[in-house]
Amino acid sequence: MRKAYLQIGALFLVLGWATGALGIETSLGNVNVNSHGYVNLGMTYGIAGKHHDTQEGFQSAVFNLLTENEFKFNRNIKAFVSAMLTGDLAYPILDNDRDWQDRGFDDSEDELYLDTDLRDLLQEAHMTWTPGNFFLRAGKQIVQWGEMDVFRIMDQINPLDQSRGIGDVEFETTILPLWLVRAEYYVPTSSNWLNDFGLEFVFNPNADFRPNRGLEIGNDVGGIWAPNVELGPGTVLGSFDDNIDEPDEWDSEGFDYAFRAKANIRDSLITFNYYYGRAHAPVRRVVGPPRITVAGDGVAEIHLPTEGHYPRIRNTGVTYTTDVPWMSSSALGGVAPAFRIEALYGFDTTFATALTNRFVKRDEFHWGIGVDWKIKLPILNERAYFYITPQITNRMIIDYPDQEPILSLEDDNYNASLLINTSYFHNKVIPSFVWARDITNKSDLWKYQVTYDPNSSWSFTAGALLFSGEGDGKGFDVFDNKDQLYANMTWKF
Amino acid sequence: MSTKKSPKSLTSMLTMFIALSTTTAGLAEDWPHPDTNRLNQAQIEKHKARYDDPRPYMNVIGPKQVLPADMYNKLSFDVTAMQKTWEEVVGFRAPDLVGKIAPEIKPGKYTYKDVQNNPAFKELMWPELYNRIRPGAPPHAGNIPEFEIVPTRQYYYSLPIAKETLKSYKDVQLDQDGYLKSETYKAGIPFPRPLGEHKGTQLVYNIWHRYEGFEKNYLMNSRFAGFNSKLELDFDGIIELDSMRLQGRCVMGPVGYYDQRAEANQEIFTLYQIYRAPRDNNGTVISGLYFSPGDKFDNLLLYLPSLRRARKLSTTDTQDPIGGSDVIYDDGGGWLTKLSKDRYPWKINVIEEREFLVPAPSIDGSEYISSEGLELRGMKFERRPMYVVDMIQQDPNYVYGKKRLYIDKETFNYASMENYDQKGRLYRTLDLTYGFFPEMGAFAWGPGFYLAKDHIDKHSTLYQPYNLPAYWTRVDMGMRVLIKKGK
Repeated sequence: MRKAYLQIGALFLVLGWATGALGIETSLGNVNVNSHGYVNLGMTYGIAGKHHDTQEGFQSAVFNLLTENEFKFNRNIKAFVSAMLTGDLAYPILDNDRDWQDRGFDDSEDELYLDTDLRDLLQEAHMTWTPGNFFLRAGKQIVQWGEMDVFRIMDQINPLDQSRGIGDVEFETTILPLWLVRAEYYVPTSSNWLNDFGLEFVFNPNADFRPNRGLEIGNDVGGIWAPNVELGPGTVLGSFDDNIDEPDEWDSEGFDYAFRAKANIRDSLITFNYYYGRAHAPVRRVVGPPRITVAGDGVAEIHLPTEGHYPRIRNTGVTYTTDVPWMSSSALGGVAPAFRIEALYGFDTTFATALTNRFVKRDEFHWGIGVDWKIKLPILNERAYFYITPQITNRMIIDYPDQEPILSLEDDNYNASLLINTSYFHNKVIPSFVWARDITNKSDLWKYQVTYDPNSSWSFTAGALLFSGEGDGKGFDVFDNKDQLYANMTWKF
Repeated sequence: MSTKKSPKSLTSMLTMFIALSTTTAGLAEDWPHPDTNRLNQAQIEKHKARYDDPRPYMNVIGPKQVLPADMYNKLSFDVTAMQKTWEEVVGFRAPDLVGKIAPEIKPGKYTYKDVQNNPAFKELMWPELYNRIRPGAPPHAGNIPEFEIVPTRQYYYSLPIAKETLKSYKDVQLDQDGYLKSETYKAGIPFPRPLGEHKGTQLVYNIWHRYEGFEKNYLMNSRFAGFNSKLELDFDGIIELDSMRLQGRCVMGPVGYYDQRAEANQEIFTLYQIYRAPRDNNGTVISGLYFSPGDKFDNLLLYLPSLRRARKLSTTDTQDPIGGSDVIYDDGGGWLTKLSKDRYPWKINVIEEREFLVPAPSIDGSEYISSEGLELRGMKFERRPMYVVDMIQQDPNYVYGKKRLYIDKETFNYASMENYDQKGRLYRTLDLTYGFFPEMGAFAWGPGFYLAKDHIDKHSTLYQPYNLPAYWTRVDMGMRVLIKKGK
């Protein structure tokens, strides 16, 4: 079967070579077809030294083969199908590596070598109908709400796939499509101040329940991205012996409902949102004595038997985006900052407590502010702007149970991020820098990267991803041993 | 809590949505929806290959062949009447104003060697155009090794545009500082007979209110390609760009403003642009709503397929190149630069009025790009009466210190734009050859070329647009188009 998938990969390569950078734009009878795709290979090299939760040196070679195809039947009806094959060639390459085996990474092969389930191969598959002011899309799709990057507040309809790590802030391949029905209606308006007004409804019939994927504790499940939670000298938290209750397919217990009103008022975009559905991450509690294993490198792994479920979540929120022209400065290039604001109030969100091993419900308030700004700094770059995007978010638990703290959350939790990039040589060379800070837990992620795009077919990236923490197993500290260098190569068609 | 929703209630909701949209779809009376006439790039290239193809494809997939007959007839007018009326508008016919400089250069076929050996051509062409008359070679695409001079034609706009111009132009006013009082403009070319202290500004307002692109009611497909200094392809794209005029409508009704909202807000036009290629840009949609007053910022929305989100673009971000091209936002679509007294004000002067030998608009689309050297071949040239207008930027922080425009006296389209940086270096140029449809009195983006060059980075972008008239409505524009058309 694996040979078959590698043959599929070869087919992608031929297809890409044959169609060149433009992909395929053609007609099949009366149907317009537009096809694109890419072949991507990314390698990482661990530089944090020898640790139980990382492989020193070469540690991953993740590849993606993606094809996307739009079929336009007439001006109101189109279909979109995308397929992706993802895998990590580190598994066959390091299969006989002693360090790899001693740390138990080889045990995650079934989970992370090749994503061959149909639900992984078939990315999106939907039909869209757009008569007049109406929009209807049914099928496997992605619906993104919210305004924040890196941090998700309102964006909760689709789960995330972080099984290949958290360094990639390009979201497109990390969002898991779901089988949804999405309908929108744009109310005709002749108002002088209201440019557009639309109503959106999204329904998840739970055709295939899909939680978040990745960042699982335990090398045998999470691979090289398994978070490191130290319980004592030479002892770490291992993979859970999970018994997590999932809604059955098509069971109304798994239905999600999302409603949004959105408006373009003069220079601003405003949305009002309501969501009622299932969380994509489970809440767990320990239900028995631990199981202990000892890895080949002598580290003891504590496996906790747990039970849990994907709790209901219900929240309402608002987003607001605008730019502020009076804040522009011609000395800095004349571009005004654009502000993105997002706020959400969650009702009876379920949390697991850390010490008392219970589930508790509390309301929460979660907000974020982001700024998108471009400035000219001729001394550093005579021709192109610098993009600067700072963000700050806060998650506040209302009536925090001080006597039984919530696992991994304080009453007030702050995060921040900063993205800076620019370009040289006519957009061929793009250096960028990302910093994400878990303010509450005093831990950081740093990403330094340079991308070289010689043309629209090829892209080459190299960079470094670094983590730091307080040594307390909180925030980014659990990735403290995962410092790495990386390089990517992408061929697009 | 019961979580079951009955299928019936969901069906009812969907039915309500569909019924509402059906009753409010807003399809215009008498005009077919433009998407029913749209060809994709592959269909266009069946009739005009990307390179080395001299076929006159406008005779096969031009407006006359593609549009429904009744639509085409509504957009066509008596040529003699158009010629006579336009002469009344501008006060002359172009053939009567040319032939004074180097009269010995007559219609006929010429090569770059003829040009280099005869100093008269240097007098007849502006320097940047003269420098393009050579075989294709690095660092830029778009050289013209040979051409044919054709007799100067009279160009004109359609009867409705001409009549509205005659009716309205005397009411159009500038304020004491030379800025348009936008409430005094209704339709037509605002200053068909520019004169006085603010003549240059009047010509720039004529560009801002221009009627190329079928009075800016059009659909467009365009392949566009970027070439580095070795003429290697480094960006290969396809865009669809659809435009709807909101102010100054003449041909497609209603005449004047599209609706009350457009008048109240002084909206001049709206458009959206979709990238179909390359892959990284595929599904990106930019939607713009543009306002006539110079101090009113436009409204720009961007749909990013990688994020599956609509984003608000800063309306002040106008000095950066658009999507990998050599055209900044302010020069996008030919012209998006606003004249404002407070933000990057310009001092505008007409420095010369004379004839030039310039690339002629294409009638049949037989011009083509050669694969070898990226030359423009099959080009026709004609003598045209032109204005040379200099715009001097008053803010030392703007990306350009000066713009120079070569504007046709009869049509008010500009043939070339030279942009100089604050150090006085030639930075970017834009050279436009339009399409002209004589029976419609209409200029269009295709079947001509749109050549953008960066003279400092030594880079070129070459567009090959295909353009058709289109009747759009509000239903087809705005925020909803980001969702409908995006990935």
